[in-house]
Amino acid sequence: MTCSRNWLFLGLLLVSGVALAATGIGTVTLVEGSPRLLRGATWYKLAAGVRVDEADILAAGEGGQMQVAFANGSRANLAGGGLLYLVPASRTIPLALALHSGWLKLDAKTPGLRMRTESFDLVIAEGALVARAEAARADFFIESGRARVIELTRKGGDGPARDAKRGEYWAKPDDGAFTTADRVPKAFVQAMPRHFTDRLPALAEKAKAKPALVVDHEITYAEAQPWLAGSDRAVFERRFASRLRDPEFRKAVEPDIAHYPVWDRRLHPDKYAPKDAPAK
Amino acid sequence: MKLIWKFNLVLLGIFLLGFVIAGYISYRALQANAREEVLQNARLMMESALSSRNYTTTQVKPLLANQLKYVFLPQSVPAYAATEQFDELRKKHPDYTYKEATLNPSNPRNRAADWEADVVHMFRNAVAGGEVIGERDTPGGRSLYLARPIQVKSKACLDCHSTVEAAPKTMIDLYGAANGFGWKMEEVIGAQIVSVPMAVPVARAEKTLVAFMGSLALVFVAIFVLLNVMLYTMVIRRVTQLAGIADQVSLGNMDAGEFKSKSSDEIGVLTEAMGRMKASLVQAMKMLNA
Repeated sequence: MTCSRNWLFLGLLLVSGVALAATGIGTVTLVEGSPRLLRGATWYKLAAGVRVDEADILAAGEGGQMQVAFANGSRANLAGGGLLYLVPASRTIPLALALHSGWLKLDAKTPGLRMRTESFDLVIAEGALVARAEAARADFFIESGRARVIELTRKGGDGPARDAKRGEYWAKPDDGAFTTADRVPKAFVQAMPRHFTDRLPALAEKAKAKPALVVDHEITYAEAQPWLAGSDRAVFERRFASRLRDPEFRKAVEPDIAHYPVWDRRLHPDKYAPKDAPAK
Repeated sequence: MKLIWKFNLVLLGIFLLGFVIAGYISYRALQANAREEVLQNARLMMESALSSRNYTTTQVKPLLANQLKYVFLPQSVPAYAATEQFDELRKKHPDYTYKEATLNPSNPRNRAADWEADVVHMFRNAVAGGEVIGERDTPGGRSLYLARPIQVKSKACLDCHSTVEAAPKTMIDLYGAANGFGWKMEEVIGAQIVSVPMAVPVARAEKTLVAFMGSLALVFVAIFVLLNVMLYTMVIRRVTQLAGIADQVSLGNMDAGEFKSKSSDEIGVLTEAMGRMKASLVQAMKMLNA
């Protein structure tokens, strides 16, 4: 009896996994300009209705914007040349978005989500915020609700945490402590994409179409470099390994090959071949 | 004095008297009409401004509510919307002015001038009802104004004007924290005032009066000339001719002419009668001489 229950549970898990894979974690509901999606090592052109999934990377493109409605009701709008990584879910963090660069507006609905930058994480249960990231420098404004700000340790673990309230502006410079203000600075507003001043529209109902993904191009080494230099470099080294079959990519990697021992082992196996044992 | 002079003197007197009386009545009526018309226009403009205020409060402000968290947009303020809308209107009607005169405004352009503050206090002290109409002297001449009270009727007003702490920070960044706070529900905080220079209705009435009196004078002149021509051709010329023949006949000159008339009017009948009288006279003279 116990055995059949286990099989049933595994079956349900499999079915739900397949269903999740088919529906994705969210849907692109708005596209302006030429945003793209990186799935695996391939860039695809984005259109409204495309389902996004864990580990996808979204690029708003210069002057463009895109909006994603997540399954939990949260919405995210990426603009200002933004790059956003949809971090694979873990047991404790079901939905996390890593803002690599550019501008992101989040409208989080319960149970909320986690936004990650190079130097801190934001846990938002319910509320809206606008964030900007540029390498290790990032700042954000809490439009409504509140967020838990968790500084990251050098090893990437959770450090000290504080609460950010509605109407507060927080900035984390490249190398320094947070500064806060009880109002949003003019410079931040002037640099911000204009549409971020509005509430993110609810467009999920209108994005019913399921357009097929159209390949744009395979990722180049220049495009892959920022991810290969980030905190998840091991993940991306494995993910982009398939590109080593491309001679152009290989040629571009060679000068930096010392940074990628896994790839070096694959490209230059002779360097790692076991040396002949000395004759006795 | 000749008949035509007597006739013309009387006619001229009647015309002049009628002209003056008509002019006076018309002047008073036109002035009153012009003032009333201007007041109606002012009321319409006041209603239009009020509509702009309501539209802004109920439809525009909710849409801009989120943007106000980033930057203060005066477009979300009813008073600003009404004033801007009226400024657009003034491009075609520059004589009209509109002001939301407020005792303690956030936007300094809405601060009430001395005479406007007096009007606001009339509303605050319940001296005036729902509307005040008045006239005042200005550097540009006499001015007519229509004023209505601005009363805090909605809690939405207090979102920005109750306390500095409750007001949007973006608004304080723009207007400062010194003014525009401490408003209370049901309080009269200002007055909507539409002003029109009196020169406008007066000039309009005078223009209409000149046109009317000019037309009246033209009609009088035409009647005067026509009556004179008719009097001369139909009466005076024929009577003069009749008198001349009668005069000659009375002196024994029976060949002076014939009393003849083709007309059957009174003078024609008189001519015929005189003709018969002359024939009888000739006959009597012949019988005396025989």
